[in-house]
Amino acid sequence: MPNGSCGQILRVDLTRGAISVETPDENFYRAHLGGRGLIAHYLLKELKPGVDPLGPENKVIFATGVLTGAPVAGSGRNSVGAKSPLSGGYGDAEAGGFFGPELKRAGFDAVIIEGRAKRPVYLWVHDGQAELRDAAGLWGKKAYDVEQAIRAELGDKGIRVAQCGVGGENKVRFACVSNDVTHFYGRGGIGAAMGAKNLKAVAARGHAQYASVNAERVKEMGRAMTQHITENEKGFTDLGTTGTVVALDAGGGLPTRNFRDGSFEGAKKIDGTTMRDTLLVGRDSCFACAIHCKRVVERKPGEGRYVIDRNYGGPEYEALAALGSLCGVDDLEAVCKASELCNAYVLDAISTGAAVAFAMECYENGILTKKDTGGLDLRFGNGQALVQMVEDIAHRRGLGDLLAEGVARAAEKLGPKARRFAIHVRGQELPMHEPRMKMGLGIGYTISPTGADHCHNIHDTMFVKRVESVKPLGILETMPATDLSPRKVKTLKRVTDLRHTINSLGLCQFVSWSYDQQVELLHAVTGWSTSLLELSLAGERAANLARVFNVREGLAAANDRLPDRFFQGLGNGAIAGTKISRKLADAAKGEYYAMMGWDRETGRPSEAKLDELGIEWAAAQLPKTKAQAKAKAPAKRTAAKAKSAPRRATRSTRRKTA
Amino acid sequence: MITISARAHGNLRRHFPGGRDEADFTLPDGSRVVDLLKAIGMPDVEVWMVSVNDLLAKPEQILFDGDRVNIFAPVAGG
Ligand code: SF4
Repeated sequence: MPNGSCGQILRVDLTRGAISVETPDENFYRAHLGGRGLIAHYLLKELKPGVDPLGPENKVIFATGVLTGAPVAGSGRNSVGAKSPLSGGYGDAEAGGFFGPELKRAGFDAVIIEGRAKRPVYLWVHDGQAELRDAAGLWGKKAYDVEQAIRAELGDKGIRVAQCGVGGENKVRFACVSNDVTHFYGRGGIGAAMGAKNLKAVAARGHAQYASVNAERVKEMGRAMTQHITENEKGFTDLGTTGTVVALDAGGGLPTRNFRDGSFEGAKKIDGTTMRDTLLVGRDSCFACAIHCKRVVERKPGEGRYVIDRNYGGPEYEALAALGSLCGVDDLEAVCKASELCNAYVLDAISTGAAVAFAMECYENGILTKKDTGGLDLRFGNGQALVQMVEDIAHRRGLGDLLAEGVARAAEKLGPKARRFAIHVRGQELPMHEPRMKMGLGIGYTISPTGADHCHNIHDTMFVKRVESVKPLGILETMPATDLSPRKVKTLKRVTDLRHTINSLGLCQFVSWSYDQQVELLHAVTGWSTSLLELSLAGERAANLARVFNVREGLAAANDRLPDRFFQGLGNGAIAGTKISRKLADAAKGEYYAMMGWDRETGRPSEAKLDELGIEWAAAQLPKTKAQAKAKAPAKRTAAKAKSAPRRATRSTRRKTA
Repeated sequence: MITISARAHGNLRRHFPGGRDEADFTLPDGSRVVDLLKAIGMPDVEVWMVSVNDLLAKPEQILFDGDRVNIFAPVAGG
C-alpha cells in the first residue's frame, strides 16, 4: 500500500448493524487521493439516482486525504460527504481539527455509512476495530456535552469525535458536522443526512504512526513551513480571517443586509480587531499547524448581556459576516452568542445567518409579519431576534421550522414575492463573498459542484496585482476583479481544479503550500513520481464525477445561475451601483463548460473528457440526451451490429499479425 | 512635516516597525499615498487598496497631517 494511506476503508451498514473492511488498490488512491475525490467516486458509483437525501439509501462518507495526518501544517484537513439535503445534489464539506489524523491512526482512510439505525447510535473506531454503540443518552445534547460524554464512557480523553448535533437530529437542511466541537464541515447539510440515519457521532482513537516513504524530507518540509509561518504569518495568527470584515467593507464588498448593500455602518463594531480587544480569550489551531487562526471568545455570567461558552470557540470571518453584517447586526456580543449557538447545535453559520437575513428582508417587506415571527420584530439589526431565531431554527420551532428548510424551499412556500430575497445557488445559501466585487467568484458559485461555495473557487482580488502564485498554471497576467473574459474563466478553471485537489489531498488552503511544494510533499509521502499535471487531473476528475452526479439528479445548466439581485446595482459602499452583466455571466459560464470539456449549453460532461480522466464508467451514469433517446430504436440495431464488430476486428488483427 | 497614523491589515504588518499593525509615520508636506507606501517600504503589488479617513484613496492622493490611513492586502477566502 502507498504510504500516507492505511489502505483500508470501513463500511458500516446501520440497518443491519454490519461492519466490513475494504482494501482498494494503490491506483485507486493515486487517482482519487482521498477527501472529495474519494467521496465523489463512491457517491456516484453507489447511490441510486433520485434517492431521498434524508432516507436510508443516502450514504454519509467520512474521508481523509492521503496527506491528512502528515507531520506538516495544514494536514488536519479531511472531508465528509453525502447527497446534500440542502441542494439535492452532490454534497461534501471539509474541516480541519484533529479527527481526520486520528481516524487514520485508528487504521482507516475513510468510513462509508449506509442504511439507518433503528435507535440512535454512535460509531466507535479504534486501532483497526469498529463497533456501533448506543447513543440514546446523547440525543438532544449540545456538542460539547456529547464529546465529554463519549470520552467519559470510553474512558479516554484523547478520543476525537465528529458529530451531527441537535440541528442534524432535527434534520435542519443546513445542519453541519463538527469535529472536536470547534471545527466544522460547514456546507451542504451533511449533518441532516447523518441525523436522519440516527447516527449521532463517529469517535476515533488510534496509535498507528503516519508513514512516509521519505519521512525525513516530510519532516524537513514541515519544519520549514512552521518557520515560514512564525516569521511571516503573525497578522493571520493575530486576527485569523476576522480582520477581513473592515477590508471588505472598505472595498464595498462586505455582504450586508442580505446582499442588498456592500458596506455596513457597523463594520468596525464586529471586526476582528474589536473582537480581539473585547471578547477574545484564546486562539486555537488544527493538527500540526502553528498558525492558530481559530478564535476563542467568552463571556462569563455577569460579564455581559449573554453568557458565551468558550468551549464553542468563536466566529471566524464567515460567521461574523453572516450573523453580523448580513443581518445588519452590529452588536458583537449578539453575533458571538448566535455563533456559539450555531456551534453548540452544529448548524452551518453561513446558511443560518443567510436564512435569518432572508427572513428579515421578508419581514421588512411585509411578506412575514409578527404573526409569523411569534411577535419578534424581525428587522435588520435586531441582535436579540437573531439569537432567538438560531434557537428556533435548531429546534424547528415556529418560523424556525420554515427557515430550517433553507432559503430556497422557504421562499417557495412563501410565494413569488419572497423568491427575490432567497440568495442561493442550487439551494445552497451564498457564502460571505460579494460576486459584484469578485465577478469570477460569482461564476464559480454557479459552476460549483456543491452550490454556492467559496472554498473551491477563486477570489478575484488575489489576481489584480500579482499572479506569481498561479504562474505555474500558465496564468501570467494580472486581471481586474470585475473581468469576466476567457482569461478569467481560464483562471477559474485551473485554480478551482487544484482547489478540488487540495480538498482531496487533505491540506488547508490557508497554509501557503505552493503547487510545487504540494507535488514534492506528495512525492515524499508516497514515493510516486508525480507532477502538477497529475494533481490537477485528480481535481478535474473529482469535479467531473460530481458533475455527472448532479446531471444524473436532473440539475441542469439552468440551475447554474446567480440570483437576480447580482444583476442589479449594489446598494451602497465603494462600488455602489456595480452589477454583473447577465450576458457576460452566461458567456463566462459557457466558456467554463467548454474548457472543462462539457457541453457549452447544457454543461454535460463529454465522454471524451471522462475517458481522458480514466472514469469512462461514469458515462453510463449520465441520463440519455434527447438525441440519444430519439435514436433509441436505430441505436439497438447499431448495438447489434457492434456485437459482431469485435470479431471482425479480431480477424483483421489476426490477418495483420499474420 | 505631517504625521500620519497608519494601520496595516492582513500580513502587511510585517512591513511595519516591529511587525505591529499600527504605527505613526512622519513625512514631508505634500506627500501622497504612494510616498507613504514607499517610506514604509511596502511593495505596491502586495497592496490591494488604501483608504484615507475611511474613504478609498488613489495612489496620487495628497495626505494631510493627522490623516488616518488603512492599508489592505488582497482578501481571499474566509
Ligand atoms: S491555517 Fe487555521 S484552519 Fe488552517 S490548519 Fe492552520 S489553524 Fe487550521
